[in-house]
Amino acid sequence: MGLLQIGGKAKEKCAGRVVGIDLGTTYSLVAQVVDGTPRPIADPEGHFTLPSVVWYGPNAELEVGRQAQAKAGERSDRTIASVKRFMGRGQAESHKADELTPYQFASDREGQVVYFKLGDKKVTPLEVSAEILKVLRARAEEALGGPLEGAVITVPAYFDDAQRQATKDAARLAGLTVLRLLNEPTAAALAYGLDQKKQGLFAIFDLGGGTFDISVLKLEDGVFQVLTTGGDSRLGGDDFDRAIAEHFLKEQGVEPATAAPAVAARALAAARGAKERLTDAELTDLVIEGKTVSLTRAKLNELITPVLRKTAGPVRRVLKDLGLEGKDLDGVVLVGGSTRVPAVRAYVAELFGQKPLSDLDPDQVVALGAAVQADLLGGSNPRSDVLLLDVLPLSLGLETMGGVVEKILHRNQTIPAVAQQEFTTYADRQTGMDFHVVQGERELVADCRSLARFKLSGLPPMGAGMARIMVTLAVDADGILDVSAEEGTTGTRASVQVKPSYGLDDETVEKMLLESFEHAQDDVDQRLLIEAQVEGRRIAAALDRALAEDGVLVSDAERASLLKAQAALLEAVANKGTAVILERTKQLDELSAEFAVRRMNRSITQALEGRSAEGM
Amino acid sequence: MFCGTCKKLQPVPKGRTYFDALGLPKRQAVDLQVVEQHFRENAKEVHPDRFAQSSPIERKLALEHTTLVNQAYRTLKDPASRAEYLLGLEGVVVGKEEARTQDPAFLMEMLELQEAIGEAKDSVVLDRQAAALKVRRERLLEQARGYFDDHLGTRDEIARALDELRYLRRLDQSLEVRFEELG
Repeated sequence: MGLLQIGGKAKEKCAGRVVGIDLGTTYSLVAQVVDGTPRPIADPEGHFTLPSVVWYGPNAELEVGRQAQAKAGERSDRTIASVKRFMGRGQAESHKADELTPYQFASDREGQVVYFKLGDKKVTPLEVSAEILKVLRARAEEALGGPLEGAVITVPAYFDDAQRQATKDAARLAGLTVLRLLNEPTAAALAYGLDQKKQGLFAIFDLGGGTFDISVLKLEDGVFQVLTTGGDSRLGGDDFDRAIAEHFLKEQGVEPATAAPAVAARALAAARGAKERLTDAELTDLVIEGKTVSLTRAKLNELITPVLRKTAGPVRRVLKDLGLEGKDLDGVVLVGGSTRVPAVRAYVAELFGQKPLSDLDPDQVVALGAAVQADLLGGSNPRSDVLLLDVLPLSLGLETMGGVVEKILHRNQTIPAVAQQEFTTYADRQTGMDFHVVQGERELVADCRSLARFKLSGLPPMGAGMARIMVTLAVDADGILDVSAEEGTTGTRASVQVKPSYGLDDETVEKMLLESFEHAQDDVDQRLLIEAQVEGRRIAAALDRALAEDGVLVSDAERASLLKAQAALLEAVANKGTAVILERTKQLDELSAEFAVRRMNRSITQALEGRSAEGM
Repeated sequence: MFCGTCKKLQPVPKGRTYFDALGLPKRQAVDLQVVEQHFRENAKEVHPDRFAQSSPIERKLALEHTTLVNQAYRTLKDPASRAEYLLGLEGVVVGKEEARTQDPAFLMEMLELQEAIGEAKDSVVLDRQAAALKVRRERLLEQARGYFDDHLGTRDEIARALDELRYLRRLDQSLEVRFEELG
């Protein structure tokens, strides 16, 4: 027995190393709750935001964030930005033919999965996202002093099932335990509402780099209830950049659709810089294809207005769902970097008939809210007075005769939710039945997103219309769907579970996971090192405490040798590898065993004598 | 819902109605504010987030309880679906053959209204139709309230009234589509 045991009771009072992660289109952030307040975690240089950019070198090197951004100039064909727009998407959906893009795409045979082509290497959006998450994980583990127990990761409310699954798998690939996928506007409301102690109806206008969400929440009695949500999962600040870049390229006679990836990447980066500078300035210069051009704020507004107007439709629909007008709301909260653009603020004020709120940093608010939710779910201090109630963003249904969708779970329904629908056979002695699960608001299957197809076979042969097949759609608190079907009349149970796919089947994801584990020895090593360091520091501190309390129990010689071992351990923690730290931890522990036994005996004696056993 | 001694969440009892789940009296007339408030209170008690650190069994039960509470809220906050649910508790499913309105005059009228909405050229006409539909809807809902709360009328009459209500709701949706088309 040694200090490990004696001190072990106090196993780091930090209950639950949990964080919130905003995996954004342009930037990503990680935040944690400290003493009841959510705070973003900075990297060693003091940056909170991590650009969501990954650079893949020709010799399997990898850079994420600012370093990757820096490489984008020289090797843009090896840099991937705004990967979030490609999550859970197939080739056809990923890229419109006439759009300015810096990427070269590859695709599998069915066009189900989109790959980025980087020289002779192909990577999926899922893997790129995982690299970003790994950096955030390492940053958080460094700051929290040990492996993470879980993370809440935010997604746009409008993300469909496939996009959510892809995000969850990316987190798995990055070695994160996902406590919850949280809708970004809900996260923002949580950060905002708790901060401001507000009650009432609030709209969250979230215009990020690549996605637009509009949600209305009711804040009452500590319950954050999403009433309705809408948006466009492919609309954001990137479209502003594209509008600017395309304008100037055209001016110089370059057709955007045929621009080389490197040209496109440089023009987009220049456009973004100019847009950001125009938040404060009225006029700025930018370089497009080696030529310096000027852009005024008025011209910027003109260029982005067509994009901005696309937000009006979803806003009106959401208000109409609730039978409200903009001015009935108690507040409109701005979220997302794109809401820094003055024209966006002016447009929001016009749409809602009231000045929007922006007390919290729109870049940080989502991560802060995610940290709050992580703390609620797995943190030190579970509060029973706060609850988030989210809704299903898009209706879920099954294909019926004639390619028509039978909606089973409806949008804006509070989740978790479950619904059943009975089907029957249409032919005598029919022993199988096909099902097709779709997501969307349109009436025809062709206009909705196909999520999964499955066959229920092994039905007992019966007359047409005799079988009673109950199909159950269940959506959990992450907004992820589970489908099952079962035949009831004969007592024979034939049921099937479907995991909706986003082009990558489970097997592929597993394979990617395995590969990542092979390559992730570095990660594991890093993790072991951090653990050893934390444990080493803990046991060194435990010795200090024990000596302060029961110093009389050791001789001067014993004290000297304990302190020597402690110093050696701390030196190892500071400068040595995992093995040495573990070795010296063990040495100090063994050396202190006798002391620990004496302390134990003393406290038992004290307890028997009825004296305080505190300090044990 | 919770065990008296061990305070653990218990399985959803068989036959638990939506009214039970929200702790509301089994009536057609309800105060919407009370529905909202009861929904929030019950969700706070049983939501899976409350059981994030509990055993898998408790988490599964929490999911089942919450799903029921959510379903109850969705059904009971709307007067028409509330009435259909009450009738369902009496064993009649609205929309099934036996509860169907067969009155040809009524069906013809619905068809004509549907056409009129599709052909409406301005929102003034639509506004008038919307107002007329609202009056009819409220009359039918009042009839339902009388049946469920004051035992007025017969079950067949109510089944037909609720079926009519469904037609009216479909017309309402067409109205909305037309409103949007006209801008």
